[in-house]
Amino acid sequence: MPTEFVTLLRSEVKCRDCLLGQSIPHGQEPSERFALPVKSFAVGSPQERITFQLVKADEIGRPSMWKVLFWALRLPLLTLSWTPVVAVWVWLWAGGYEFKAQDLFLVLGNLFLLHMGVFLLNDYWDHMRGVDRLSSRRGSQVIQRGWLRAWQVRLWGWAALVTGGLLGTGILLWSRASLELWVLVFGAAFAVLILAWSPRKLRRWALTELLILLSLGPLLTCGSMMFWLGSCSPEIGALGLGFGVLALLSFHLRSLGALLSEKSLLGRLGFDLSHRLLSVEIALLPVFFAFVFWALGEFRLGLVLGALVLFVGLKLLQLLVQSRSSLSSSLRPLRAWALLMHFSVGVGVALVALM
Amino acid sequence: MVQSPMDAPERPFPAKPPTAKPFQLSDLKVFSARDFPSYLPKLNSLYDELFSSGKGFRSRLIQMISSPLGLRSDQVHLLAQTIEFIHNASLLHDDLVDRSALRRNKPTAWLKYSPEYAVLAGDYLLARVMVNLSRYGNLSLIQYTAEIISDLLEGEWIQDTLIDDWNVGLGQLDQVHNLKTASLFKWCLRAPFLAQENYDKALHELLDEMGSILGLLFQRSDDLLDFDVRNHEGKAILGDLKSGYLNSFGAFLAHELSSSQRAQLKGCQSLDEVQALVGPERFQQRLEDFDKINQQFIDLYLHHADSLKEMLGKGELSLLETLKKLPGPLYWRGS
Repeated sequence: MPTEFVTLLRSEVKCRDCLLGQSIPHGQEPSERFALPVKSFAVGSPQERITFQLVKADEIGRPSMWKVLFWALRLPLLTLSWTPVVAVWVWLWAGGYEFKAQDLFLVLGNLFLLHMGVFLLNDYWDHMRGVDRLSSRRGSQVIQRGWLRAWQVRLWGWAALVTGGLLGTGILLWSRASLELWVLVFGAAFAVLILAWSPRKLRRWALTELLILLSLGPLLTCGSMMFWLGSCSPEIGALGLGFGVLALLSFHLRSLGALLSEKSLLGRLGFDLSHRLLSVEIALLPVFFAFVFWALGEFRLGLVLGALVLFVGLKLLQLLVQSRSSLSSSLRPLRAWALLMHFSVGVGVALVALM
Repeated sequence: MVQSPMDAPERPFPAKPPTAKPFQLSDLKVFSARDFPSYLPKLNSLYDELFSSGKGFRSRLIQMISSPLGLRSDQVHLLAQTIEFIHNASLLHDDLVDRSALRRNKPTAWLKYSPEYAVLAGDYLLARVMVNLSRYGNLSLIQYTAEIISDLLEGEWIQDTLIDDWNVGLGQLDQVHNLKTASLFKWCLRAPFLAQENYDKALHELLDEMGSILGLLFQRSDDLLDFDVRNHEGKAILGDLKSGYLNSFGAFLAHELSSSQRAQLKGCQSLDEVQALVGPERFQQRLEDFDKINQQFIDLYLHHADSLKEMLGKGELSLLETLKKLPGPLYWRGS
């Protein structure tokens, strides 16, 4: 049986139904059919047309819901927000401060909801705007492959974002947070929203990099400490900077593999210069961690973190050196290793704190 | 005394020559010794061998598309010559980059003449393309042709970085093939309309997408030949694998292999060894899966061809039948 396709004008009601993932009646056939968006033409113009592939529900071949959620929620990226918070909590708790575990779970739960909301809505809006299609291989592709309906993603995304926002506000109110903490939290939230929906032009300048560095770095660690203790220490601020740099590294390593298809700061620098800069960055990271914490008097922490980052960094450098272009396969595991490096710093902080 | 090209009498390209003949499919000969200076030693014999051994598929495609559009014979000749010059220039350079010994069962130009001559001969063809098109005077056609040549070279450059990359994925290879192979097919579909001065954006966007699909199908079919699938022409097999390059079917086959199996794939010298490594049933299953994916691309192409109906003039509708006949034979190779 030949595969069926249909091309519709973006302005048609039927097109919107297809995009949202409504089932399409097909004569007397009892089985549901869905339209998977393959390609968009004249994106953003009044003449925009979308070509859909029509598939039966039982032909979609959806994997287990766990796998779908894993891809849709980008679960490995959760480490970028959870690890700094847990590391700060363990550091402070080992330093003698008393906390209730439920406070930590509330904060982590809140971060999870915000993470879920941002990524799901980002996927939904990129799908509706015509940025993510089966042919472009961008985003998680859970909508484009028919694993989830767009309206489901939109519903869960908004539910998660609103619940996370209300929960976060409630936590701040209940804990009688200081004005500085309110500013920090809303600053971080604003930064994340800009990152998720930033115009492409902004991505070619360092603004995206700055937002990642701050929102997944000092804003997170200092915010956590201020939430529990009402103030922030230089060590926690430095730790935040370290986490921010590692989060940025993870983002840049992903960008290096997408130079052909995405406009970014690395795209402006070009493959060769970006490759060299990232290599230097990875090589200097152990020195950064060792030196900063040495200077703050935390010798053991500096030594452990420097050693951990060096150990994982060597693997990163090996993969980076092997890559000869933006399409090299050795770039693919780089992001996972960068996330591992980020996570290992959190583990290192916890180990030193508990020793 | 060597005559400088600057002193050569200008051969203006008339917009509507009074003696311009209506186009007929059998008239075409893209290479003539008169098109190139005779004072450059061995150039014409190099080109004569190059152009006489090719199938001229792309120039025939130009002819098939130009006929329903009512282009004049001089326009069709220009377009056909342009695409063959670009294609053969890329072959001259490719053979040197890959250090290939044979092209179309004959010694490659860089071996028979010299690497320097092969490079310069390729460059000269591209320069002639620009001279001919600029004399024709259609700026959009010139600009588009320059972009296509640029894409072709980018694809070549990036493909070279994937040699000995045994973990490359199908997605990455498709990006290369879209630049390298598909760009010429896109040009074949769009250039006749540009020559006709039809610059409709929606039409060209659709033709671009159709050209992408044709290029993808052509490349994937070519890659299957390397694994002796539908190899009716009896081409040498496993050439890509032995050169350290995992082609699209190779990448598809290797997708589920472990790292140790991929390492073994590198060392395979015969198809029997490849099938023994993957398992004969598994090889057959992966081939069927690959064919199924590509048949979907054929169906998508045919759907886009139907969408062209509302964009063509009444007299041009016969082009649809021509376009619809392309992808099947291109991929299935007469099976």
